[in-house]
This record gives sequence, C-alpha cells and structure tokens, in this order.
Amino acid sequence: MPGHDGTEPVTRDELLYRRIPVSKGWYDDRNGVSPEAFDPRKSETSGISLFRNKYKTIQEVAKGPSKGGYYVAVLRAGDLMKEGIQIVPRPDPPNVLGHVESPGLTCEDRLTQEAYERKVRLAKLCVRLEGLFLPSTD
Amino acid sequence: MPPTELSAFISPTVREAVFTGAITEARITPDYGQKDETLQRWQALIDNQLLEWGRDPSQLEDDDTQPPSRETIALAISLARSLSLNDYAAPTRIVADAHGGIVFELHNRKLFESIRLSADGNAEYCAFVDAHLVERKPLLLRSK
Repeated sequence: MPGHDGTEPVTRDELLYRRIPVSKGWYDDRNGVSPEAFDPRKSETSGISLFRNKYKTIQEVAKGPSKGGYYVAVLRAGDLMKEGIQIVPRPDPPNVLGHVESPGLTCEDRLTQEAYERKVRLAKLCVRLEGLFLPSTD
Repeated sequence: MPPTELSAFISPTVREAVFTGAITEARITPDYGQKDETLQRWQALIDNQLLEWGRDPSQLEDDDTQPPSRETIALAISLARSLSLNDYAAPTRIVADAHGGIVFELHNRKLFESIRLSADGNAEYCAFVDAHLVERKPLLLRSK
C-alpha cells in the first residue's frame, strides 16, 4: 500500500522500540535504562536500530539471537524529534518493515560528545520498559 | 596467566573486628557509618559482579556485542579498589559496554557520572547534567 511500505517518515505520535539484551545488565529497576543500551554496536554503521510500533509488536521486536532474552525500551518519536534526534526509515522488507535508524549515533562516531549526550538523552527519554522476554525457541 | 594478573580476581583479606567492650553503641560516628557503607557497596560490586565476570567473561558476549577481556576486568577491579580506598562514592551500576569495555555509572538526580574503561585499557571520566556533557577527561591508570 502506497505510503505504508515502511519508507514513509516517522510521525511524532509513533512509538519506537529498542531491543536490549538482558545479559548486558543495561536495565535494572533501581537505575532504569543505561545509556549503554543506546551505544551503537559493531553492525550499526549507519545508525542505531529501532522499530516502529505501527509495523512491529513488542513481542516481535523481542525475538533475536540473544542467549538470555531481551527487554524492549519504548520511546516516543516526538520526544526524540524535540531533542533533535533524527529518525530515518530504513525498511528491509519483508522481515523488518518497521526498521528505522538514528543516523546521529553510528559505531564510527560513538565516542564523540554528541554521541555521548544522545545516549544519555535516549536513556532518559524511555517512557517504559517491557519484558523480560525469554529467548525464542522458533 | 602471570600471578600479577590473577591478583585482581582475588578478594582482599576480610577485616577482623576486635571487640573491646569500650563502645556499646553500634554507630560510632555518622561519617564512619557512611564510609563503611560505601566500602561495603564497592566490595559487593567487586565480589558479586566483577569477580564473577572475570571467572567467565563469555557470559557478556551477546547479540553483536563484545565481552570485556579478563585483562579489562582485572583493570576494572583494580580501579574499583583504588577508588574505594580513596573514599569515592560507589557507582550505582557497573555495566559492560558493547565494545569490550566496562562502565562505572553514578546516577544522582540531574547529575550522571561515568567512568569508561575501554578495551584498549584507556579510562575516561564524564559528567552530564540534564544529559549535557559538562566534563570529560582521561584518567591515568598506574598499571598502564
């Protein structure tokens, strides 16, 4: 359907999901989400990955290769835009239609002042956390 | 592994308490109690987390992330001991980063402080106020 192929711009009212491996300890009840949950990983060369709730359920996002399962951090797209954090649709049909990236946070630039501040800001902007989701068996 | 590298994974001797009967109240001074609590918090992080990681760093290898090496964990233990002995506040959390490093985090309302020990052995202190980086400086570690 035109306009609904995952390439349309993210709107302010959308919710975004970031998968957080449990084994890394990037979430605990006392301290909330660590900025490290938003540290670009080796493969995140063009921006950290998030998923749009209009295309993916939290349960679908929580399916991944982690041996210990995942938490899923929930963010409001509008909150990120307000802070100047850009979100770009990067669908990879048909499996990851709702995939988006934040190009201001890449593996190469992860040690810059801007990247440091964005990580801390993103951790603060989490509206809630879902999980724990145990490793999927399928 | 040489004995010097192993030493970081061995907890220091437990302090022996000598009961003299001269003091009957548990709390001696407010400062003493706070200092002791801080030391206990540091020790708990070393014993329950860093030493545990050192036994099996592969437990931190997950989903496109690199676990810290034993050397990095040993350095983190040395750093933790040094900071605790110099009365620094214990971190609220210690996490492994995605690139083989270890981060000490201290959350205190609007202030967020971190010490990042990178996989290459470099250490860096950062302070953020309301997510704005207000201080960033390298830390010199003696063992380097």
